[in-house]
Amino acid sequence: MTTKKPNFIQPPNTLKMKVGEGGIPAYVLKQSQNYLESNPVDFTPYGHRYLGQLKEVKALIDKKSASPQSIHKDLVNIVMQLKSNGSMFHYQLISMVSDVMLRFLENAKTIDQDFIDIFLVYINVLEIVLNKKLRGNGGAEGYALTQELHNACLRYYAKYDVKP
Amino acid sequence: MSYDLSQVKILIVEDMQPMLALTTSLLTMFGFKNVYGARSVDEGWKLFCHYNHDLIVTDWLMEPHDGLELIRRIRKEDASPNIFVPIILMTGYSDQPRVESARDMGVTEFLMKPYTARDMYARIVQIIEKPRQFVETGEFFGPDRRRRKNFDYRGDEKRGAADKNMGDWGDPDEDMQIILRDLQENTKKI
Repeated sequence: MTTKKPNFIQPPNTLKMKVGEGGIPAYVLKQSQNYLESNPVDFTPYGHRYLGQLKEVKALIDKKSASPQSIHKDLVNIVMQLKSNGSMFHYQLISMVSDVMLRFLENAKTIDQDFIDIFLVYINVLEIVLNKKLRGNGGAEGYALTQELHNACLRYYAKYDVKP
Repeated sequence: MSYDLSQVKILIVEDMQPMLALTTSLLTMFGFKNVYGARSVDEGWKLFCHYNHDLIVTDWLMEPHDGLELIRRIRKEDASPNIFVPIILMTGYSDQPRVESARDMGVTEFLMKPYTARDMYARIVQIIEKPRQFVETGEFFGPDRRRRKNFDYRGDEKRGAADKNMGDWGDPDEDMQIILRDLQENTKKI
């Protein structure tokens, strides 16, 4: 394809024609949010499945049987699932630490021992949270944990001259 | 007076069953009566070709095809019943380069996961009340990408951020001390 002069198109707003005016009442939004926050889905089995996938990736690292690019891609996918879905199903701390881990993966340069150390800590955290079914964000302690993982990542960045 | 969503056909494509169920229930609570769910891109594409939905909500990360592949088919394939259909992409990715790459595929709005009811609502209102014009340049076809401020919207405070969501921590001090010690021990040499 080649670049050409932009052609702007305004499609018909069929949605607007169908729904009319007025938005959604505030009480409906509140009820919907309450529903999200109280949904009964148990994320634990899914969390364990993702944890198992992380351990499989760790085994690949140990065996050196996959390329760093492939390992990195797999890790990003799994960690992003944990980050995205943990909080939706009451495991806020999983989302918090996975957010830190995801940023780390986006900045880490190589898969070396320091990388593996941080990765293992992340696995350990997930394992404890899931095995003990520690739902919620963990309050001040959860924040401290997330901060500590973040600090370890910052030390990694400093050591490897990474500019996150 | 409020929106009449009963005539709107909406398609959700999400491979994680609980998330699909949760999003379906949420949209039903909003008032949508015709909510279709698909657990893969292929299934979603098939449904779209058949029902020609008014709005699509899709997850990004799926196997074997991801949400971007669905968007590509919708925007570019001849079989697509509506290349202009609004598409909300749900994602956990937050870094700008990734978001921009998805935007270049023809995403209408992004919805960061985890999301709140208000986050979802805000995207839907945006699509209804301030629809993007489309741009066709030869290299790009999709909603006009210049409304950048939408990518920065994070909605209200994220779920679980408040103290009320402390959750089921029996003895957080003890549990957390174990994890913290472990973390400090294992990363101190970095």
